Amino acid sequence: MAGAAEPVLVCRDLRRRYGQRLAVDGVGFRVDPGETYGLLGPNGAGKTTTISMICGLLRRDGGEVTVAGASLDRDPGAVKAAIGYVPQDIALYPDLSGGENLRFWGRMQGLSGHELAARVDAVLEVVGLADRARDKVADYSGGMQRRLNIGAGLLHRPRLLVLDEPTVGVDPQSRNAILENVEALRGEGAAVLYTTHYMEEAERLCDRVGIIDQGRLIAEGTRRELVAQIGERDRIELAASGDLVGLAAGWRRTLDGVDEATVVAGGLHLVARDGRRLLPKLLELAEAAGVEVTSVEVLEPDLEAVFLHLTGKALRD
Amino acid sequence: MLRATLLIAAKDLRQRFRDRSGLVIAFLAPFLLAAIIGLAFGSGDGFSFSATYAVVDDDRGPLAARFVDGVLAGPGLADVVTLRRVGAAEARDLIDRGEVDAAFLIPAGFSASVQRGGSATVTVLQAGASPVAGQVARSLAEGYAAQLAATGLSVRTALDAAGRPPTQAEANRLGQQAAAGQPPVRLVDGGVGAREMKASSYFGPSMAIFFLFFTVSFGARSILIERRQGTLRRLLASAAPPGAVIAGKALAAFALGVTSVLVMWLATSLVFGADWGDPLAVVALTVSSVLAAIGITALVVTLARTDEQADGYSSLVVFTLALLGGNFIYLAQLPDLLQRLSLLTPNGWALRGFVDLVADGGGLETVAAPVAVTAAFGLVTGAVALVRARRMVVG
Repeated sequence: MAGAAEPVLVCRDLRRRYGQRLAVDGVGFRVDPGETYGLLGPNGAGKTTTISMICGLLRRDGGEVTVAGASLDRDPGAVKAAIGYVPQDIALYPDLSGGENLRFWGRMQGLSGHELAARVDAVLEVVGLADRARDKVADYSGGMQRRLNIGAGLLHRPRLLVLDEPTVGVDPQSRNAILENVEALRGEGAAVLYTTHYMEEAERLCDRVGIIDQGRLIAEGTRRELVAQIGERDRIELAASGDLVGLAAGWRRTLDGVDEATVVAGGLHLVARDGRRLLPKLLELAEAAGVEVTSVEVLEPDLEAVFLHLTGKALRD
Repeated sequence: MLRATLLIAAKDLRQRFRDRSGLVIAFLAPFLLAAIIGLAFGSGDGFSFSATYAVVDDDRGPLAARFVDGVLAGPGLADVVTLRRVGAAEARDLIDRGEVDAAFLIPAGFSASVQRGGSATVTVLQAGASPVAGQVARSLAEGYAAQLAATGLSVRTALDAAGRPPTQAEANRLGQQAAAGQPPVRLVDGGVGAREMKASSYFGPSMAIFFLFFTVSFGARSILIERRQGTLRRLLASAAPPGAVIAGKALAAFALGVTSVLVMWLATSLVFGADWGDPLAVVALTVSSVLAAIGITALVVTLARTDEQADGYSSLVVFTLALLGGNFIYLAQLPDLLQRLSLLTPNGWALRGFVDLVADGGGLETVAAPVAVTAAFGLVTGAVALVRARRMVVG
């Protein structure tokens, strides 16, 4: 989706230090109009710190942020007005109704009168809560609160919608509804910055993905571009128990074609060339090592494999 | 900035009016507690000092007679002191039975000793159940002793100045002048709360001020609550500057605090016939008291890390200020030390202002000092709280 149009978001060389630890180290990327950009990384990688700096919620130790042509340093008000921020946790007033919450947040973003009323009605429709608008948010289910949480970020038709892990702790049904909402936004031309540690969400929603680990952006591109970095390699996931560390080391040492072998909770993840051909040998060595394998899955190359390849660890470690 | 401030204030007030416990604290609790305490202190229809004293006159001399008839049974105390002339044994018995609040024991030879320029002692026995009446009795005796000492000194000074023994006529004249001195003690001494006033006129403002601290503390506490529930980040991500968040919350607390006191004023006036004094002065004192309450509670809350911790800190500080400031008992009935300590609290100053308004009348000039001091409490603590709150908001 990247094109000649002026980018909605440009950030360069963002840095943030907490004491001795560099939480964000030189992160930079852009998001174009109508594009959904995914910031993919494990918990603690620096995703929330990065978007907090972009939204002006956290002081930067270095770097620049420009949103819709406005510099965060020179015109923070214009930058904030152009952003619709959806925080990771539900940020609503539980003692107010859904409608009252939306009206308040709409007013805080400068809406009023008929425009406010129309936008509140429209957003309630989008998030499927029109019939519950008068109910207190405290009486909503967790999924409904999540949807309203996103809706509050859409009210003023932001040029850039920033969603910080919006599906954490959400049931599958509500999660799907949220993803559909985000897909619909892309259809309306909004630029979306979406952080997640769920690889499948990034693959489904994002036009481009930036992979972030330990505060650094270690790769960026479309899914195809990223997968191409690791060549035609498969990802193999095994549920197993026993001396997994020893087995992983043995596979790497003795089997030609195993590029990565990582111990994860309850099993092992591998990146290997021609995984299906390699499978019998893998299981034979597992049996010899006394490791009990209860399931095996061979997957086509995906972002998880890319992450594993780039960092030597699984996304959800 | 202004728009965001007003929006946040309106939202906070909407939330507060939805919260039943908040409404109880702001409006119902002060009224009920004022009614209960008022009833306990005098059937809710008035407060005035009265005492019953026993007096044992074993001296039967002129100075003892002057103390008993001129002071204790004199016109200055006739309306409030009931006097029982008894023997020493009966006096002790009456004290033990709690039938009198205090007893004066004037020993034989008291007048003669004083007239010779020597010392003499009036013993005051106090009943444990009547500390205030006992304190008044002691003050009466001390006052009379002080007057005798002053009179003796002035007579001796006059004689020394003449440089010769007085003639009989001069001695008689000095004696008559000394004896004609004003009784040394009157009940109305200008002390706070000692003047007659309705219980509801005292405990109406008193409870309004006490609950005011709880009412306005939600302003600063709500910053902690919004931080916990994540809405603070969302507020800051909108176009609202951090200053608007703080100003909005302070404005909501101020509006609710002023409303709470004014409603209390209206309710106690209509229901109990309480008199709060000049309306303009009441409003001025209300505004300055609300500022003090906001400043102090905000400062306390900003020392806490969680809203639960803030609740604990606030309660501790509010109750301490109330106890020291005289919110639960007439200031005049507090010991001297506590009366002085009450001046370290905005509660004490505000109550002095309200009492002065009722007892002395007058308007803004009557409450100028209490208004200035309570406002200063608010401005100083509020300024420190503002710096801390900004840090709390920005993170």
